[in-house]
Amino acid sequence: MAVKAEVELLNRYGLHQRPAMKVIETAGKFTSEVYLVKEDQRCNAKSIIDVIMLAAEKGTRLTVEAEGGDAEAAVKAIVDLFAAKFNLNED
Amino acid sequence: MEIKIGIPVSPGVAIAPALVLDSESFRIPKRFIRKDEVEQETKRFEAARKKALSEISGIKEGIHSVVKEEVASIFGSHIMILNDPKLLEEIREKISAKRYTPEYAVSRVFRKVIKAFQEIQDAYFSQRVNDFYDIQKRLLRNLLGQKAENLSKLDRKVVIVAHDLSPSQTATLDKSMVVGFATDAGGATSHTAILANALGIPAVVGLGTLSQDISGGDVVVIDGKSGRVIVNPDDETRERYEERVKGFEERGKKLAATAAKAERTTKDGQRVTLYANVEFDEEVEYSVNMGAEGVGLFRTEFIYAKYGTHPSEEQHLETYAKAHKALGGKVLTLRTMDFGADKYAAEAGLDKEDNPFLGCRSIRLSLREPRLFTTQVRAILRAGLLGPTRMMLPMISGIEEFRQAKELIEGVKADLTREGIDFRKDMPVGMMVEVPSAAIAIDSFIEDAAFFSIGTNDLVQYTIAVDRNNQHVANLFRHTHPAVLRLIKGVIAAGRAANKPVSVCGEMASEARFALLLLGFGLREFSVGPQSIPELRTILSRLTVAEAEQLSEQVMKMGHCGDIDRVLQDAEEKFLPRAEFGE
Repeated sequence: MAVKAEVELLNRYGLHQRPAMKVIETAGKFTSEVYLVKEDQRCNAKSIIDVIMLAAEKGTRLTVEAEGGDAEAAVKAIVDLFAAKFNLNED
Repeated sequence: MEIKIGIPVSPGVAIAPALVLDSESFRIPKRFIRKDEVEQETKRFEAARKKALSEISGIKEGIHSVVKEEVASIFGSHIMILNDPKLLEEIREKISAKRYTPEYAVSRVFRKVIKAFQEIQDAYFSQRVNDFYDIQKRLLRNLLGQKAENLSKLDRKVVIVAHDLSPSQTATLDKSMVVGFATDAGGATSHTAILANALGIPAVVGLGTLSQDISGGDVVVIDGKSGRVIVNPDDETRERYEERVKGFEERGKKLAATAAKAERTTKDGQRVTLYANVEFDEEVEYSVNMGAEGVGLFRTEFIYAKYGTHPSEEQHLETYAKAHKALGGKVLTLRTMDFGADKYAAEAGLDKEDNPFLGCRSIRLSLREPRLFTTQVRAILRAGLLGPTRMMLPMISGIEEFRQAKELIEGVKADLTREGIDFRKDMPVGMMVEVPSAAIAIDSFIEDAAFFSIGTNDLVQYTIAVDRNNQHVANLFRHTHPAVLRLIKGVIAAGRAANKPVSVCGEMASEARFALLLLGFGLREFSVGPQSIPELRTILSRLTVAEAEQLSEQVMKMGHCGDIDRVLQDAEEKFLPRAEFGE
């Protein structure tokens, strides 16, 4: 059963390399399949290439989806990561 | 069909499928694997990937500076890319389902990703493209590096196509299966040219981007006379060249038969000795079959390419023993190692050199790294018991260097004596004359050196100040430059006056027209690529010393290289008409 949640990209430069790397690191901790969906683009949150190719800018709304045993925890971790602006100091 | 023109550096004609060696741009040919190779090829990809990952981790660990976090993050993303599940799945699928070679699969998948990134009009994305190029290159280098080992066992005849050939690449090459060379870079005396001449196979260099434009397996014609390289010839062209291959083989046979019957003297009875230059131990037997009376130059660099930077005394000795066995009592002239410091830069505490050709190379490196030198010297002294042996020191520029090397050699002899190891006590030690200072002041070496061998390639390069491998100035590299001719003539005269043997072992000696001139200068020992021996033997037996001297006197009055070349060409035609043997 898929778990879903909506997030908004809050950090200044969008989902570029360093935030993307944080997404991969976080998603990689779970056995579930994890996806980020932007309109019709659905990307594997464990694939750095996929995540960067989303080219998501500040303000973009994304859906986080996960399927598997630890799906719920995975979605929560990603949602928290977005809320914390990826724990990056961008200034 | 595509025709390219390059610089012909070794004569002959060959037709065979291309084997493309790595080029720095890594454009990889479309090649397929068999079903039963899928598992093994997938493993090869995994091994290359793991190696790339550990290389990157190594770099990442090594970074320590203010930019640490930024740079480490770039390499961190490289690691993520190499672990990217989608990327890996695509590559593995291309290998297993489409049966691409791992090289081709990697280049296809990366090309797709790179293209996608390029399509996003954003500075950030176009920068990322460089990361992908970097990772791709790393993977391909690892893949090709592993495959390079297989070059020692080829299962069919091939033409080698490469950007440039390095000695270490050719050291492992299965030379019995190589019928020709074609390279993007290089000049008339590049490593490729030397090797091709040694092997007696055609080579064309300076072909620009051939290695990128060709796919492995494409049929290639190499015309080592005109410099033409034809990719995928049509049937008519192919037949025409097959005829020429036959014609060339016949010419070789006819010349060999004529040379076998020729006197080993000039027409008027002056004895002329023809030695072979040998690049690899396997060539010694071939040289003897071609009529060599010994080896005048045994390049030992391949030993280092084969066994690594520190071959053992036994590895040296084993190689020399093999050569002696093939020579069956003929003389073996062993030149001590002659290469640049680049391989030893770290160990020797040397910085990267701005001018390697003027830097710490050859005998200079030997004197700086005595252990490297003495290991080889021990083996050479011991090899002296297995057959007539001479030791030759390369790149000597002044008598101090020669004496310093001699002192080290004497030290080695004392060590061997103390250790109770037998060796040849009266080993002749001679020198290469290839630096202009040595040629000009040849009299200062006359007492000390047992013999001289003129290395024309380096002598021309250093005299005219021209890098023979730089295609933009390669045309200035002329053996017939009056300055070069005067130096050569002077060395030959000085050696003869002091009754010390002098030979010429550069490319120059192997060309019939130059050989006539050298004979006129008084040269009586030639050391040449083995395949040139029959032609040289034939032409040198057909003229008198007086005729050669007349030719050299005429040439020494001239100043224009082109005019000199024409006079020599005419002389060659007179004594060895082209029509006589075909081609």
